[in-house]
Amino acid sequence: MRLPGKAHRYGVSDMIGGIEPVLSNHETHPRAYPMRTSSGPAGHQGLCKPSGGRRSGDQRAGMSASLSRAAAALLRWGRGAGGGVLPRAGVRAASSGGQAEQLDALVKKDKVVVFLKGTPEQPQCGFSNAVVQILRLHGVRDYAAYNVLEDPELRQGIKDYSNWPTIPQVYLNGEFVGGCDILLQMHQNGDLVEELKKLGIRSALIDEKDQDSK
Amino acid sequence: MAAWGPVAAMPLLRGSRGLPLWHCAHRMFASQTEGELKVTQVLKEKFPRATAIQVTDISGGCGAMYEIKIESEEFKAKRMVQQHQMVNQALKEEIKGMHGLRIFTSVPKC
Repeated sequence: MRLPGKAHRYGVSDMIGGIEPVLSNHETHPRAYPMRTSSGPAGHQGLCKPSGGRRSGDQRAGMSASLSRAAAALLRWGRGAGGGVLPRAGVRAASSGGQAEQLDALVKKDKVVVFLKGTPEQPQCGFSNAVVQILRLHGVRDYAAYNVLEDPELRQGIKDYSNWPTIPQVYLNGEFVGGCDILLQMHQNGDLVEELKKLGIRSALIDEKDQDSK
Repeated sequence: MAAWGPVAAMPLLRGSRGLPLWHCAHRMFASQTEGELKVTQVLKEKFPRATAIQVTDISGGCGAMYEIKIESEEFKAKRMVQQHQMVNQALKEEIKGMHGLRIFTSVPKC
C-alpha cells in the first residue's frame, strides 16, 4: 500500500533526521530498526517495485524522439514534471561503446545529475525519495533528474556505466559519487557541503549553521 | 514503499518495545553468528592490511542484512564510492544472498 506523497516524504525526512544518533553512537545498540540504505540488486529491486504506469501518452511518445530533440527535452526540477529520457531508438541502435559515450555526455551536461526511480516530485521508492530530500535540505533545486522507470535500457545502462548495482545514483560535475547510502553519509559528515561548494553551489545548510551559531 | 510506512514499522516497534533490554543483553554477550564470521573471514582475506573489521547482522537474526565497518589503508586517497565498490567487489558472492548491506569505510590515522 502506498502512502500519500506528503506523508511519505515526511516519514523519510524524519528518518533522515533521526538516523544521526544511530550513526554517531556506534557503541549503543540502535533502538530503531536500521534504515536500509544499501541493498543488493535483488533486495533493492524487491523494495522498489514500480507502481502502475501513470505517464501520459505524450510522455511515452517522447521516448522515441531523436537524440537532439531528447536533448532539448531534458528536464530540470522546477521547469516541468517528470525526468528526461534517452531516445529509445538511439540507444537501441548504438553499440555498447556508443551507449557509454551517450551516458558520459548525459552525466556531464549538468553540475548535479541524479538517476531516480520516479521523478523528484513523485519518487517511486524510498531510496530515491531520500536522495531528493537530501538535495532539498541543501537547497539544491536546479539539477537534472532522469527517471529510469521510463526506459529499461537507461536503467541497466547507467548501472553498467557506473559499475554500481543500484538506483538512485548521484553524479556531481560528471563524476559518480554514489547512491542513497553514500549521499546520506556525505550529508552527515559534511562532505556534501564541501562538494557543492566546489561546484559553486552554496548549501542552504551553511546559512542554518550560521544562524545557529549567532 | 510499504517498508517506509508507519504501519509496516509497527510490528518492529512492538518487538523493540517488548524486549529492549533482553535484546541488547543478548547482542552484547552472543558470539558472532555464522554469517558474520563468514563475511568477516572474506574481508580479512581480501583486505589483509585492514586494521579493523566489524561485521554485524542487523536483520534480527535471519542473516540477510549486514552492517560492515572496515578500516584499512587501502582506502587511502580514494573517494567513498570507490571504497564502497572495493568492499562490494570483495563480497561479490556473499552479496548475492543479502537483502541489504550497510558499509562504513575509514582510513587509519597515522
